[in-house]
Amino acid sequence: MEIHFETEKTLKIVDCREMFPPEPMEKILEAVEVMGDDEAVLMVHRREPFPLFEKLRVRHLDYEIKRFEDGSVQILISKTQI
Amino acid sequence: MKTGNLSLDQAPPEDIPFRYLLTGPAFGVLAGIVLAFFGERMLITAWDLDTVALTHLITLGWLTVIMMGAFYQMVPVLVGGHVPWIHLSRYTYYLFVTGILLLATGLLSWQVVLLLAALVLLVVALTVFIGQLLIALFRVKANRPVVYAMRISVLSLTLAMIVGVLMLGMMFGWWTFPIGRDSLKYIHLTLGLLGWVTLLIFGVSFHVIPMFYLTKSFPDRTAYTVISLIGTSLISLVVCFALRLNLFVLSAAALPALSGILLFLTTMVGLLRGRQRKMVDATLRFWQLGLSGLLPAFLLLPVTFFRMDEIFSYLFVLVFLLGFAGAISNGMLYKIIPFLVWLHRFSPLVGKIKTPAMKDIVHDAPARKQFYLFCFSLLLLIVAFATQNDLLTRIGGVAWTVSSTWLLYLLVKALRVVPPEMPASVAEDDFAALFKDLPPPPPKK
Repeated sequence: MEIHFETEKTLKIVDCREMFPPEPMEKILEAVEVMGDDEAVLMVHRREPFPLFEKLRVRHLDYEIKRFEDGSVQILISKTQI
Repeated sequence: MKTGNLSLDQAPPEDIPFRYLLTGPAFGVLAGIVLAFFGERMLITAWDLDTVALTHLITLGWLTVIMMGAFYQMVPVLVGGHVPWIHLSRYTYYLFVTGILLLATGLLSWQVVLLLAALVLLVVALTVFIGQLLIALFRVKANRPVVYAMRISVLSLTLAMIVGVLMLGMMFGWWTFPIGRDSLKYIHLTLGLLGWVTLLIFGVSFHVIPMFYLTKSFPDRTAYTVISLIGTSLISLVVCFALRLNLFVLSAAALPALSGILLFLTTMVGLLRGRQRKMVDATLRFWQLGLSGLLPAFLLLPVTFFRMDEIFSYLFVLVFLLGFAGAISNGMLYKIIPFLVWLHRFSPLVGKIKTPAMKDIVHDAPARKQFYLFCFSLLLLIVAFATQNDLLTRIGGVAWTVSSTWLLYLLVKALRVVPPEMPASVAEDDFAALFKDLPPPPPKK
């Protein structure tokens, strides 16, 4: 699988493409719960997970999203830079 | 932080979609009771006021209420839109539900005052809902088929409402209109069933079927084609009915919709067959039943124009409203309600407690039994309507009541699933304990 982000942070990849809802959100929230300052979580999903974004905002997390023609997305999540 | 055009609080508070979504089955119970009570009185003619009352208990009370709740939740979830003045939805809910009850009572008892009150309440409630949704849907980028489908669906509801108001006013003699009531009722049916109900179900299914059943994505090009074909027939059928064109022209106008429905069905069946994780639960069975009912319903419809009796009219309405739309909405409630319970109550606690899976919030075994009862009541009613049998109609009404009650019970049970109380932090207890024996500070001079 090609990763479409460049980052110096240690990357944890969570591939949600074969998960039933709400497992994708659950796995991502679990992953960000233990994420360090020098780490990032990469979510790979077959669709844009709109309900997740508010959850990330509430946890003061940054995210960047890349969308592809088939509707799939890659989302890079990290802690907010102060 | 890249947030696109997301506003801070996109998802509605949980009570708003829940109240709408649970009221649908409650109206299912009421509709079943009406059918059981009145029996063959509902089968005199499809345009009799009693039958119109029952039809609207189902179209407005069951389907539209559920669809409104689904819209409030799905616009943020599926298209990232923001529904404005969401708090108003709590009040319009009461107006809408009261309006439906007054409409049904007024039609059953021919009380003009009740019908007038119903008209006002329903128009106010629907106008607020339509305003909220059109603003939300026209603010988002129209870069996906579901957005187009939702827009056309809400616009169809708007026109169906206007036509309904026109017809009621003409019935009371308040006003006249260049298009006769006979034509207006078919226009109202077309906009309501093909535009509002069918297009919304199709549009939502483009996303929820891949989402919940892990199929491949519904191809965008096919989705746009389906929407365009149905939209073409929507416009042409309305024009044909308004101009009272002959059956040949009407059939030609309906062909694009039939093609769109066939295209949708073949694509969707192919996606479901090709899914990798072949989990089969009650919700999938409801989708299979609903998709199976759609084509027969639309094939029954043209027959109604060639027969003197109205048996096929009843069968069309039954198979479309219950066999297609009712089945799919019933199944989707078993997905939406647990998802919302999880999203609102448990997602903030992920990582802190063990959160339930959706199948733990609504268990599949009782849902599957309710599916069998749903099928039994539908089959009973099909036979009852086809044979115009009073006893079977009443028994079918009872079966439908029990099925809807069971659904309502399972959904209320799901709503009772709440997170455990979180224990107080140990560190705080230890810190507070350090000071508990100290005397209070002296008062300030």
